[in-house]
Amino acid sequence: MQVDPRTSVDGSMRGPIGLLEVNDVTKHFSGISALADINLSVQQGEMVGLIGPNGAGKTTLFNCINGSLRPEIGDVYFDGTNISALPIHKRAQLGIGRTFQRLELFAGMTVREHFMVAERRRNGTGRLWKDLLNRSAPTEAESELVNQMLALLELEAEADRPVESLSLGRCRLVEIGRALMVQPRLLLLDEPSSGLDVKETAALAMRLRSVQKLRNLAVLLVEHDVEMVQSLVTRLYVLDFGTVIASGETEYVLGDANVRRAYLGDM
Amino acid sequence: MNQFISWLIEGAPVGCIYALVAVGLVLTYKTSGVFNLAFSAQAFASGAVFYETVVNSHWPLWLGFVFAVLIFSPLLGLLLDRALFRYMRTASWQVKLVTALGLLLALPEMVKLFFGAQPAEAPPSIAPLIGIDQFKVFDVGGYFISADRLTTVVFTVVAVVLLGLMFRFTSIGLQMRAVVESPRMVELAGVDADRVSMTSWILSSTLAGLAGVLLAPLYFILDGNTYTLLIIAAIAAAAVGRFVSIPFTLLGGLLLGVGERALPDIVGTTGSFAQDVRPSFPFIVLFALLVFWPRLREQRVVSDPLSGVDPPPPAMAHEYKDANLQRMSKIAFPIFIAGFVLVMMTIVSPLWVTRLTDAFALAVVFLSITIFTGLGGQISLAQASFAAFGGFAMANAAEQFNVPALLALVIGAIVAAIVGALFVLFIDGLPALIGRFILRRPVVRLAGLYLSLATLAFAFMAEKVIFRREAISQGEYGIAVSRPDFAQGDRMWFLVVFIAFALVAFLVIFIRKGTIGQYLAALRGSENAAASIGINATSLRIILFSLSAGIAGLGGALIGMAQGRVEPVATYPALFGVVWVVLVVTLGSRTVDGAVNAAIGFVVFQWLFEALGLPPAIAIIGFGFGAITYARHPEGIVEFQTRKSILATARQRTLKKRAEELVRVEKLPTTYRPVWQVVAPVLAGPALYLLYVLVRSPIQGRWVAIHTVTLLVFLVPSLLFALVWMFATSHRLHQAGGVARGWIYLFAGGVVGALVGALFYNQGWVPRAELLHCVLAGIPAGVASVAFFLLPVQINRIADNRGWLSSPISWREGRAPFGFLLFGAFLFFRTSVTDASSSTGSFINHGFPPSGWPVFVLVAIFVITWVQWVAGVQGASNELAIGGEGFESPDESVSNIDEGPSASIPAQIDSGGV
Repeated sequence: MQVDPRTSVDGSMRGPIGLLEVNDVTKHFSGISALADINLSVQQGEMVGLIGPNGAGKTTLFNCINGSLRPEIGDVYFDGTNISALPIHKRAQLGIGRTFQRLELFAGMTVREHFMVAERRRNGTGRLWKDLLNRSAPTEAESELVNQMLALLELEAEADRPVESLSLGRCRLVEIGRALMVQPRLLLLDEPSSGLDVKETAALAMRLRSVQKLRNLAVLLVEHDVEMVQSLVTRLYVLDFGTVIASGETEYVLGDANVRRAYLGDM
Repeated sequence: MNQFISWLIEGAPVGCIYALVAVGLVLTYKTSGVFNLAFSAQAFASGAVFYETVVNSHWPLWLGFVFAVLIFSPLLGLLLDRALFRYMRTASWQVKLVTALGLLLALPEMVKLFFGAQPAEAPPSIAPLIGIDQFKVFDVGGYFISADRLTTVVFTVVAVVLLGLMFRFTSIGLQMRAVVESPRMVELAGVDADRVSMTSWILSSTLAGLAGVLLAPLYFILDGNTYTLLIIAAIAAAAVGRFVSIPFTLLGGLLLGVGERALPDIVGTTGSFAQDVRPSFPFIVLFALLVFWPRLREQRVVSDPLSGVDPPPPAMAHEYKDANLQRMSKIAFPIFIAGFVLVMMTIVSPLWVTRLTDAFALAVVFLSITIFTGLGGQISLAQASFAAFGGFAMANAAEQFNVPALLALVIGAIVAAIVGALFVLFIDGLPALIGRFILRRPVVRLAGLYLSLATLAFAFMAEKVIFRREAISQGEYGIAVSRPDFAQGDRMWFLVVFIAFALVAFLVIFIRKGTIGQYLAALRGSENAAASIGINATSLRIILFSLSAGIAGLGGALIGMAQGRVEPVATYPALFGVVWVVLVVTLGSRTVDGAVNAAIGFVVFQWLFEALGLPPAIAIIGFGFGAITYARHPEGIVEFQTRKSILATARQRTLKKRAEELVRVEKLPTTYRPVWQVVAPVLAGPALYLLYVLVRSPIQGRWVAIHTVTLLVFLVPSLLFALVWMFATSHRLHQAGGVARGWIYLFAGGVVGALVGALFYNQGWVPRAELLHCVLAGIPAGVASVAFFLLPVQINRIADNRGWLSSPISWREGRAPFGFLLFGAFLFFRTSVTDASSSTGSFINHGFPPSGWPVFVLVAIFVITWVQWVAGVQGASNELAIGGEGFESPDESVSNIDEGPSASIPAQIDSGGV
């Protein structure tokens, strides 16, 4: 049955259709509820934060959105279509990019190769027969796009180094760049600042904002660094024990007593 | 019901043996992460030791049993743990699997080498040990059971009870149980992992040894092949317990034994199909469990918490070349290939043309491993089967449908590719359907160790069932095939094979460089991330499997055509699939070079040993143990050596430039000496000799015989120079702050060498030589042996003292020439003791090819390794003279390649969260 994403369980309308709509998603891991009845929406061009203590279910929710996990109940809509049954790579091709909390880079490949492989995938020109005829050298247009991304993230100096030799902060940028290369409409960022120092975090936040503005990206950001969250997002969801305990304008949510108790540890 | 009881009674004993090995498998897998496929080889070794002691040496039965099962087997397990697997705790699953496979190949061959290659008949029964007459037959409620079967059950029950008691009541047993049941908990609880893994290796080896002694009487024969198949049954049994549960593993073993017994009663004993299915029952069960039971494959592969921290293999060797070197190899390569083909088409002896043709046909199959393992990151043990599909398709097309030979080769490749695609559809598609309609969740793909096991089971299944079908192989003698008409001559046929090889080689290189290669590299790096940028892993897997199978099929078709006949078992034995993979990954699975070297090595080494009068099994043993180097060099030996020499060249160039600069300012230290000044005199002797042979042979119209005198005339000056150089270098290094009194070690080496020479004379091992000759030969050998290790150690120490982060050389560099010295002494010993008149005996006074070529190959290898060492040491000591810290080599990881690249990987830093 096709459910209108705007209609929630009680049948009331919920405002404009978001680019991403998560409807009543529930996920269990061997009897333990990881996510319960999650509802969440992200509009085109909007940067939304998702915070919560460790174990609250943030990464699980990301996995449900990008297809790494399938929720038992509930659906995920992207741009109005139900994508709940699609595998990861199909969702990626629709325009959902993501980064990982634990880095998932392609070991042994250089930064440039990371971007190039993503670009190839995006324009879909990679064909076996082309390989067999040795026609797979990067075209000028492809190299240009890769160079632009390298410049955008200021990774030119490290472009031809294997990712293993880069610092953690640079690796996080490579992941973001790789996700951006496929020109997603929605970017899921999973704790991009973890492992970075204050300076690096600030620089990352700045880059993120400029890229987001430039591309009118929808971003869902999981982040522990409250300052970074505050500086970037307009709306915020707070997750605890697999449920949304608060959502709304950033300042309003961060002021909420429940949130402070659950997350910030305030009395 | 009655039927079932009779199955139970008759099947249980064999089932017990499966269970014993399987329990050992689970124990070591869970405690050390090694899926030890070599347990069957250990069982065979124990069975052979038991047979040898009891039957041939007439030991009492109990003593033989105690020795084989309670002393030999545990010690073997201890040795494997201590000497090998302990150092692989953090290694990847590929490394552990390949090492175990290497052992699986090498151990049985070693046993055969020691105890004779023929299967031993009438192995002793151990029934008398528990007071049963071995010929007695027991009547259990109307069912008959032989003494051996009863004994097997009794011993298994005792072993299992003892194991259970140990788990329950001893502290190490409790720890082991903890490790097996919850490795994660144990990491926290501070269990001594080394001790646990050692105990489990000892225990499981003992179980395997017991199984080995029990199995032989049941089959009335002690034969390595039965034992190789035993391991698959054991894996299947362990799979029933999902590789974790010991009780279910025991049950699995029993079920397999019973099922195997019951099968003929169910499918009938008539018809060849029914007869073929029965022995392949364990493979079918294992394959089915891996494919149809998603929970099995979703079992987390046991790994050390530190695994994955190891940096990935370094970049491909050719990427280290600077522009100059690249240009040079671009020019040199086509010339080399053209020269090679030209020589092959004209002057190379027909025998060698045939051998090298075989090697290149094999190299095509090996390139399929380059694709599957080098690009796909997975290990398939079924490449021999895919080759067989190609071979039979080719043969049927050519002989049944009169397709032209070249087209038949292509058909072979295509059919194999289709089989490969069907294979992956089967192992991915069916579970996906199960996931979708029964489990209602996505199912993990069959990958890693589980995929390898599935391919192993498939390979044996194919050999036993598919290729024996009349429709495929036309009976046990197979199908005769002929080469293309224009290539009836061996040289033309070589050209055909070489062109096919070259085409496939370029294809592999293009794919590696191309988009698909990049996608595969991405997938290898992280499947999750690859999917997150939209890479479709499913379709890539189909491409990977069908490409690899297609290439293997082409190679198989070429092999079949070269042999003139494709036979169901002899042409493509399933076990070859294992040998090939071990060989290719050891030498290098990422490059075409690796595949070529592996193929030539596989063909040439077997001939080499044969020509030297050594059992060809030594080659297999060598390949098997060679796999151990894989842990250190996952990129492969060929690739490692190539990179090393490229880096060394680059390093020497930088040194040279620096020296030139120093000359200009007149500050070059006197201790600096260009490498060529040292290498040239060392090389002079052998080079002159080669020249002498090449000039003299055409004049006298036949190849020059190798005379001891001529050898000496040419070699002695070189040797003397090298000795003087060694002393001088040692002295210089001593002055620079190396080991004090290094010359004492050299002197002592000379004395020991002289004594060993005298010993050789005294023992009559060199009958035609006098004492003086022996002593004179011993002295330089002794000095050289010490110098091989001493000089690098000195350099190392000086570098250390100066606070250099890395030493320019390591003592390991000395291993290669030292090893060859020993090998040379062995050859000398061997040829001296054997009858001089026999053709395989003394080769010193024989002609050049064909009979003398092994000496030349060995001498050439020796000279090369020796000169490399001399150049290495001189280069390193030059570096001490003018180089140092701040004098950066082109790549940071150069100097400590042997210790593993030092680059740290930040990828695994965990910051908590879900």
